[in-house]
Amino acid sequence: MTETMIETRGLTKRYGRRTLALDGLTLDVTKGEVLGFLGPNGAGKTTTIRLLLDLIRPTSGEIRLFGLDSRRDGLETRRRIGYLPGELPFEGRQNGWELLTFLGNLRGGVGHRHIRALAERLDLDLDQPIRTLSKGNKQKVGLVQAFMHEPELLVLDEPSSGLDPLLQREFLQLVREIRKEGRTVFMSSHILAEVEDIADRVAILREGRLVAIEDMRDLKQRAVRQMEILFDAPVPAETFGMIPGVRDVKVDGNTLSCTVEGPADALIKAAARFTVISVLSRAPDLEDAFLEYYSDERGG
Amino acid sequence: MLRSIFTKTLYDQRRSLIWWSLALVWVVLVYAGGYRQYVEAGLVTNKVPEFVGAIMGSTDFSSAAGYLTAVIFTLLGPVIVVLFATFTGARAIAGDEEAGMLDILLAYPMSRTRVVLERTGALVAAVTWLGLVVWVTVSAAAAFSDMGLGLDRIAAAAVGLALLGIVFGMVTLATGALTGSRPLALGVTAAVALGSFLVNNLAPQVESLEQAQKLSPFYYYLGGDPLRSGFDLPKLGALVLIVLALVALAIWGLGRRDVAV
Repeated sequence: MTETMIETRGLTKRYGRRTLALDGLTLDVTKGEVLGFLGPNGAGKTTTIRLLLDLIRPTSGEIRLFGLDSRRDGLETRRRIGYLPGELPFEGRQNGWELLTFLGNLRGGVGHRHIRALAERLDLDLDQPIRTLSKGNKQKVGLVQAFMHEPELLVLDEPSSGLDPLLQREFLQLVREIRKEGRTVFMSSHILAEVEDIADRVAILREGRLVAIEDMRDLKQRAVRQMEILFDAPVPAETFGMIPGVRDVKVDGNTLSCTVEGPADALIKAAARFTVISVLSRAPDLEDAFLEYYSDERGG
Repeated sequence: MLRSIFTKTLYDQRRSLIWWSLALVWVVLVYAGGYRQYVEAGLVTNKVPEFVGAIMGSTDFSSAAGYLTAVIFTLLGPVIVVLFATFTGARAIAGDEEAGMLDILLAYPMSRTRVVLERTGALVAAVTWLGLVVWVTVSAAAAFSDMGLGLDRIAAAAVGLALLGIVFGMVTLATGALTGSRPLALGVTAAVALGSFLVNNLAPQVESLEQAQKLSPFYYYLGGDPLRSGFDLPKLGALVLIVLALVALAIWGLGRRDVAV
């Protein structure tokens, strides 16, 4: 049986009469999965995350974490969660070491060796005063405090923001290790590319509503790629426009450009009837795949 | 010092607490330490304009107790102690919330009640320290100037002063806990402190304020004339009750609402 780590039912958050920040979110996150929680800024991602931690209270709906009530059993659920906020407040004269020791003590003490090891992996200088740290380095402090007690569930709000590409890779490696250990990660982002290599599933939020929840593999198969084929002479656009999955066909001189959804086989075979000089295929942009798919669905 | 919110809060405050303590020591030494010389130089007289005397709460400058009550315990002491307590109370919840740190603390296995209690504890400890500073320096100044005041009476006034500071610090903390707004918490406290100060000191002259005086924390602090009569336990007890009520209000206020980002 799969264990459900996060379970929300009809979760709704309203601010005043006018603002509906979250509208009936029903979502299950199972043990051991990495869920990418996507949506543009203001879609309700941070609202959802802060509801999970009982920092704000739902207007209606229910949250269960580890099968427990997020509010009544809040001390127990928060003990088992590592949380990275979207905005890091760290300031003052204290250095990273002092802050992390203090935060570790609030959890009943976290091994110093563990803090040091994490800091080393993320290349974070613990002796520097927090307020002198760059945004990226503050983000590292935030990550260390979220990971340091080896929680069963990680709730990360925009974890890669401010990290340079090298560290982003290190971060993804950490997440991979966590998944391997059977722990669960719930991470938000407004960019699909940030989670596409790591997420098992992605949930898309738009204007407070869950518009899709998708297996990453399905999404990749459905991915749309841009293709450009250069021929030795102009080709008739109609021939290619009729191929299933091929869209946006444009012929400009000897060049044919189009987008292909799914396998490119039929297009290649049709092109083979002419003299092909070169073929250019750009890596599938999942972002486009996504947006296109759902704008279609909304439109149609 | 990094073990709990209580100790961490005090630890983070250590530098500012030292400066506030030095300000108190300086004020007490200048105004109380020089009392004998001021009297001899004819600087301390009873010829204070009546309205000024009324606002200061005492026109009896001829005795050491009257002078200290007016200058140190009615005016300068409360200004320093209440200001310190107010800033501390403002930072405790609302300030931390505006900075975003409350978000982190409450995302830990830490109940809101506990955060309020530990922050209250740190406020009480810091203000009590200032009370102790006042007690020690006033006692030293009194001995130096031969004022003939017992340590117990000075202690009664210092305890009252500390409790007064804690009351206003908790007004700020509780307002912050209820609303999450630091400016509002500071504004409310300024209004309450100034209002209750004037009500208490003007009440003897203004008949219509007689009943209102009982609402002023200053009344429970100085109404028993601690430098002459020593500890007035019922009045000090009233201050303690006000503090407890404000703690309960703060717990309720923070527990019921959303924490701001």
